[in-house]
Amino acid sequence: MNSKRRHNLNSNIESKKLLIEKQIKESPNIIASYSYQIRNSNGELMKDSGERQCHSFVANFARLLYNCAFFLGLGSPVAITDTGGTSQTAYSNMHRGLRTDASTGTSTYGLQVGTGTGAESINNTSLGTQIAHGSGSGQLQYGAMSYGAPSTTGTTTTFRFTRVFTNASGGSIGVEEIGLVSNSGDFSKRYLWLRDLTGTITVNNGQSLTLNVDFTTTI
Amino acid sequence: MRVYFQFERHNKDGELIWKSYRYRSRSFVQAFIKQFYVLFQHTSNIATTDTGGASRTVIVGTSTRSTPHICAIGPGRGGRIALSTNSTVFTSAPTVAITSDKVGIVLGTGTTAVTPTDFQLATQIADGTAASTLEYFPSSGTALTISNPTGSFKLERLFRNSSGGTITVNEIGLYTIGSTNSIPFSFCAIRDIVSPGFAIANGEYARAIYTITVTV
Repeated sequence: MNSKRRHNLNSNIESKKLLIEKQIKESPNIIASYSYQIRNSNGELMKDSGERQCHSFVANFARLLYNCAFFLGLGSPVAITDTGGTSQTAYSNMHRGLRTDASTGTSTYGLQVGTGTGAESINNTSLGTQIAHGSGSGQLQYGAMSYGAPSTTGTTTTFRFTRVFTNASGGSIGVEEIGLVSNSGDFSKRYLWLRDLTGTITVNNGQSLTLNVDFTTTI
Repeated sequence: MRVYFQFERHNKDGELIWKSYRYRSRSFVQAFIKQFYVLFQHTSNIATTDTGGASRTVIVGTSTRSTPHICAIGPGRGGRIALSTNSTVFTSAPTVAITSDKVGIVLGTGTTAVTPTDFQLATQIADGTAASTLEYFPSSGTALTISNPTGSFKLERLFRNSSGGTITVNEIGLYTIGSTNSIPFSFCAIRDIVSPGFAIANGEYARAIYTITVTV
């Protein structure tokens, strides 16, 4: 084989490799997306964001999948940093590692909202500035987490997390970030595993914000 | 979240003789999504079809069964994974046993297109040394690494062809053990077609790797 033909062959192989790598990068297997609706005090829809893709599963999600979901960390779990910034190394602080079923008024896990605007990082372990539960200034009332069970249409399967936040603070609140936090282990350790900046979502006094996060996989 | 898979073939001396492209896994199937859902919502049980085709109830944690999971650890050739009845503890005196080809990475010869409701490989290659079987080594996870903007880990399994003939692999899957009432069952989490398929000659080893990645 002469050098020109060899060069072309190598170029073709490299092109095919690059194409495959490009396809890999462009096509997540499980996509997280979010949408939100703003309603007034009468329940009338004021705004619907439509679906927006989440970009930010953080490192804790990989760690929780490894340790807890796939059971690979049962004997020697990899450390996970909780929302308080403490590194947890005991499996007893991780099991049930992905549960998000927070009740009304529980803001320490489940879907959370915040006012932080710092860029998302794989190393995020909490929201930048979480909005607290309550009716005081700058606070939102956290509803109970609810879920939409998996459903399949054609080749796509989806399930949904939902939480309603109500503004009884007396003023407007600008939500800038959302997160998903789980409540794990025997001693209620909390782990952030998804954080996304949303741009400003203004929730006026008396309004409610319904936040949905969908997990979708398509064959 | 992205998942890839890749293969290697090694000769009888363990020398690498072929390595595939890294393929994008396309196919989390319903059983995985349902188990995933139970881990997150932790409130209500859900019916899921196991790898034998029977409907099983995947359950949330209780006072005696506190760890819902999608266990992907698989024993090696002829082995069984031992679980207590509450599916949370590996014991030396199992009340339930899952055999090597019912959990972890599995291979098959089927070429049927994947659908969301697939609950098993189309034609799984069994663990063994007889014709058309492969010896299954243990299946486990490795290499959890975090490097901004990516976190990833691998699920791996080694297979040896001691069947006396060549075997062509056309499909790959991940079987897991789910949290079910009293007795753990095997569920198909992922099924992918390997196209083109590849042949494992008698005496050769094949290494299969799934890489699971999350990215900001």
